[in-house]
Amino acid sequence: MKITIEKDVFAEQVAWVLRCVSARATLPALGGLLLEARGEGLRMAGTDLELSGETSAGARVEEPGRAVVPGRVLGEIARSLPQGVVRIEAGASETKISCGSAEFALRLLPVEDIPALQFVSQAPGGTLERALFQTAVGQVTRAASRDEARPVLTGTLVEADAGKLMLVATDSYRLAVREIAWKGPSEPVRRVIPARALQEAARGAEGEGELQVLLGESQAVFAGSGRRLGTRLIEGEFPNWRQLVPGELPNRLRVKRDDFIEAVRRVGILAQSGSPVRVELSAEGVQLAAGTQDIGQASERVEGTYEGEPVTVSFNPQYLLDGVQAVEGNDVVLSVRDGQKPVLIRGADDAGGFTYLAMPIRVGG
Amino acid sequence: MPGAASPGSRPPPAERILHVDMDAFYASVEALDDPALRGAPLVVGSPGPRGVVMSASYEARRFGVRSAMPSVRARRLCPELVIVPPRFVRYREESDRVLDILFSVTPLVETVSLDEAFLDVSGAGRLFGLPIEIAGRIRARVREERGLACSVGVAPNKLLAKIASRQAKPDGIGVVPADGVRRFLNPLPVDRLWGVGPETTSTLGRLGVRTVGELAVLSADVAARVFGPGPAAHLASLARGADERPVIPYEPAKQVSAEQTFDRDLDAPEEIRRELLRLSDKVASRLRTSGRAARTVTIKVRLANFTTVTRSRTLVAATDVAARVYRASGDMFQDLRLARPRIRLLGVAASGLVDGAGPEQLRLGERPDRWGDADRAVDRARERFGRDAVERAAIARRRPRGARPPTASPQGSSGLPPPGSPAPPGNRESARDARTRRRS
Repeated sequence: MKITIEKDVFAEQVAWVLRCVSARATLPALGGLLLEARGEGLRMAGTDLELSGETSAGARVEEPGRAVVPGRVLGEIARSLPQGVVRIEAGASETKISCGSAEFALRLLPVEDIPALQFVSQAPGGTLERALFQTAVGQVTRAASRDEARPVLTGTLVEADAGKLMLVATDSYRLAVREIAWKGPSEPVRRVIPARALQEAARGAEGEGELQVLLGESQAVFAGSGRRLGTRLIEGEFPNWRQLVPGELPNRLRVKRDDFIEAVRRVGILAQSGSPVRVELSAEGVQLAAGTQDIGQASERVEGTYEGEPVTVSFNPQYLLDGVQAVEGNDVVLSVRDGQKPVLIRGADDAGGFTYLAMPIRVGG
Repeated sequence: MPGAASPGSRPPPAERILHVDMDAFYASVEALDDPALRGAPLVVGSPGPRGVVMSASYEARRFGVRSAMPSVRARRLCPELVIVPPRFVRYREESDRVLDILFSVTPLVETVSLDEAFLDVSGAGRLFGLPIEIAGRIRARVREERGLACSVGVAPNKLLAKIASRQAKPDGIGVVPADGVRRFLNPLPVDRLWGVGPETTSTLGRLGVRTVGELAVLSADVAARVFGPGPAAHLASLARGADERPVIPYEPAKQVSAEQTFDRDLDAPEEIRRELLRLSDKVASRLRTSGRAARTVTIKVRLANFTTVTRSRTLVAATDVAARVYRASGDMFQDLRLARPRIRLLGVAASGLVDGAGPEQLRLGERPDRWGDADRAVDRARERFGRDAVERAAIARRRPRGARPPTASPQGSSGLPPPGSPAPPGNRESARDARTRRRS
């Protein structure tokens, strides 16, 4: 194979596909990146067995062919090359990459060792606006579990039907749900996508036009702009989240989102090693407090409008922040029943779009 | 005379061990903080239908209210009973102040729990007088400086000092002179002995043995036939009032751990889980008696070939609950994915210690469980009847009949889920917990 390609284009494509290449691969080929010159362009592909990605870009192909090169090293090379035209030439034992007077010769990895990259092309799905997809994934995946002991909770549930797409994640201490209107499949589909993979898909969703989503039986694919990213799915039964979301709650606080975030951050400094932030809700608004005997105390009042009985409820400050930060808009509404039931967090003007639940910490014996 | 240090020094008295036991400690602290509660029949316990009495004032005890009794039952015995929720951080604070007083007498103080400590005063005689005088001074200072009552047992060893303080309650001093041990022990009912639970008591009763004096003359052959040679020898030594355990001075613990080397390697998954559960239970129980909770759980696994692995996990919130320690240790064990392991040693440790009962991060769709209350009830029962009085059914089932006193609830399992089972939050798990709650 022999090609030339614009340096910026090359570097961008390599950076994109490297998100699918394992940094610490158990098989050498899993750290490898496939370069394939054909027709009018260069195709690059890689996989870490969870994520698979491929991208194509225009290049001048002098001689078609394929080569597998070590991914991370190629990434560093691509970033560091001088401006200009990059020339790639794969021989029998090495791949030469040159640009200006810089030249690299990389040992080849065997082409046949790289796992076959397959992407489902026929599956139920729909199309989405890219920015909306990125926002929604950011809002929801933060609630997914990082504890591999319960694999299904490390995933994000995707529920799609003709009219809407729901993204749901929970680590059993909190739950985040985002609803997006779309034109989807006529038959409802439920899939659980690893949260990390979904985050990579969202990060990689920069580009032009709409993003195509395919929800296959064993793979979900996000495609568009000459790129495809596929992820394996998680098997297992996702919790019945609808029954966890409470209906009307009697006590409602409306506060300025940014003020509340700042205050929780400040008071949270003294909520150390698992001690909670106490949230006291009353007609005057909300009083936050935290502290331990060893270090000291913190408290802060935040203005707000409160309807309901005075209630005190304690939280892991991070769980509270994750929810409030995910809300869009200036004002956030927190609804509670009592100190042992979840708080429901929503944007003040965002009725159905995003819902976040966090369970409190029970204090004392 | 060997050991005679300076002229005029007397040999230290044989009754050198003090057991200081606060009277109705939690309830007394509550009454101290809220004068309106003084003189009222008062208990500290968790409110609600499943709550348990953790500490009862002497006014409440007059109605028959006792520790470890369900709050509902206590309320029936005494309709005007005041039930206050526990504040362990506060009890620990008060406990530390009382300890300051004890440390001013001798550095040889061993804390047993928030409301109990042993002192070895053999070295304190020259400064502070006879042990009985020291005991009197401690009681006076605790009363004057902290406003609390305690009882003190003075005896040649820990076993006898503990029995003596109990005999002296409330608000008294009990002395067992070294030459009066038999006189002191003989008339006592056998269940006063540390480790003699209801089952052993009733077995002894069938043999016509009701008092310690009768136990002391029980034929060794008969005892060995009924209890097995090991337990029989132990009973005989208890009946003599013998106890060689030293007073081990208090050090603030950085971690609490329990480990076990097995006589033969474990290989059955059931057995391994049971041992992890037993060790978790032990660790959590020690956390509770020291008024602490742990943020991090570590397991240690040594295989038959002496390979040793350890794994740690930090919990969402600090805990002193056996079920939580077990869930973490069981999950970690599962994650090791050992193929048909042969296990020589298992250990469970808790670190990242914080004061207090530990706040508990609740889970979605799960009603707040009551493992914490169950554990505290177990503590109280063990305190009264000995370590073996209450055992998780999952641990106890394995024991050969008669080897040790059996358990409180023979039917059903311990209710602990097998670790590592990928249970989602919500209904599945809460249903399981609800089921186990009914059983326990």
